Amino acid sequence: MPYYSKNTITKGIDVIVVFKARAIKTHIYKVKCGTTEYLIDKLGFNYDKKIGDTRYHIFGVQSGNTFLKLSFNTQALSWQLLEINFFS
Amino acid sequence: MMHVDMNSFFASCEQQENPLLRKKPVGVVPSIHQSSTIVAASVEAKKFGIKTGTKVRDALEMCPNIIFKEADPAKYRYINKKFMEVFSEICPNVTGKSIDEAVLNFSRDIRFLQGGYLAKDTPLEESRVKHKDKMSELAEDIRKALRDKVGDYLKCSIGVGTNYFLAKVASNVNKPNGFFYVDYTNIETFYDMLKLQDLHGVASKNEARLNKRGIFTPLEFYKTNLQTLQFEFDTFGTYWYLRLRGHEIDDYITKRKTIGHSYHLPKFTNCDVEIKAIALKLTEKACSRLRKHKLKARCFSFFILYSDGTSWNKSHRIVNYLDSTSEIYKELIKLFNQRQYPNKKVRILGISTSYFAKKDYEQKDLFSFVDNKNNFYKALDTINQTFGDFTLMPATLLQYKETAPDRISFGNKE
Repeated sequence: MPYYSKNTITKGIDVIVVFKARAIKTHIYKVKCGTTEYLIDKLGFNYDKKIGDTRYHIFGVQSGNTFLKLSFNTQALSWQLLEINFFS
Repeated sequence: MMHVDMNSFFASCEQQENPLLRKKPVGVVPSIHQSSTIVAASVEAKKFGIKTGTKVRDALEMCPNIIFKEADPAKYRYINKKFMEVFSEICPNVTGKSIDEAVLNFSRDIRFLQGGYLAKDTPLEESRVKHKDKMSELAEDIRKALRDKVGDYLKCSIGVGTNYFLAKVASNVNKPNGFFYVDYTNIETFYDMLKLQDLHGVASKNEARLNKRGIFTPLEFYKTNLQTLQFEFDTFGTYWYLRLRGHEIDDYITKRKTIGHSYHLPKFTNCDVEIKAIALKLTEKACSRLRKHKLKARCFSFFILYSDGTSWNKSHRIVNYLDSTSEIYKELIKLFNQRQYPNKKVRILGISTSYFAKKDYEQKDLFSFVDNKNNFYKALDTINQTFGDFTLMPATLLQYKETAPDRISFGNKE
């Protein structure tokens, strides 16, 4: 399939994050979406953006052959899944 | 001068974010549909002949496995901010030339001036070699800092020359991830490697003018005397003469002359209501930028590209300077109603404002209700800044909320 299926969603998720004292970047350990759990292998990139006065931290992470894009709302302190893609 | 050009910038940002896209052909598009145009192709996609400007349907024929990714302006602006911070740590004088390019000006850097590599008592050849080595070392420092502080998959090409022009052209020589140093010793070899259109500022029309004078290569252009260039290009001939010899004449900041937006419709239409609604959204975006920069405009243009490739544009100037969406929209609609071929389907529409005046110096109107209007737009802009763009908008736009989303151009970081 040539097209990139964007699979844009906005869904609440459970996230286990590790904040290490000496690490520069936040380490996302595990994401639970519905009944599926994803162990995170690699953080691709994280950046922040503001929508109005609210700042969101966006994380692009890889779990096996799955790419997940997560958003952390700094005002509501909540996580959302923005995008999920499966690569063969 | 050191010119840093991020390679396949938007595509590399996507590959940086998603490790599963790395080493795969990726095309970044403003929106995913067949008539869309690729704004950045990854290094892997470029091997198939896909480049910026290739249509989605053509790209699919060239490389059936290409992966399309919708552009994410917030991410590109963030990465641009990050790499500008990295450059500022290495050089005190950095100018961002576009979203993926920057110039590091070392000409007044203490490391190279008296007492440094270009000290008076140092023999010319020795200082040249030292300078080249130092520049190469700085290029490596930049790459390392980009890897460590921004992203390990972001690559850049670096060119060094005595002016902006040479540095820019040199950065395009060894792509991707290359380094090229131009000075008086290799300038002829450098020009010999290039075609006329490789020179920044020479496109098809200038090339035809040069060809008419018997100039077919950059080396011939470089060797042409001043009189011939002045005869063909007038004052610009003098600029070219100096520019090609490494003198700095492009070291100035261009003033903002227009503010506008355009939109490529995913589905071509000749429906007046829809076109007017999109024009209103584009006007609102342009006006909020005008108000943000405390500017008012008195010249307005409307541009349409029809589905058959023909275009129409019209502009007019008025006496009063305006910045309110409703007034500017009224002026634009006057233009729109005069358009040719109302039955033809529209592919791209654009609006722009120009002839600016600073809001602070405006002539106060004795009789109108300007203050009420100003207060209204001030409140509207504050609400939209607090809760996000288009939180408060004209009711007409409710069903077109998703059209004409945030876009990014190469030259503009807004």
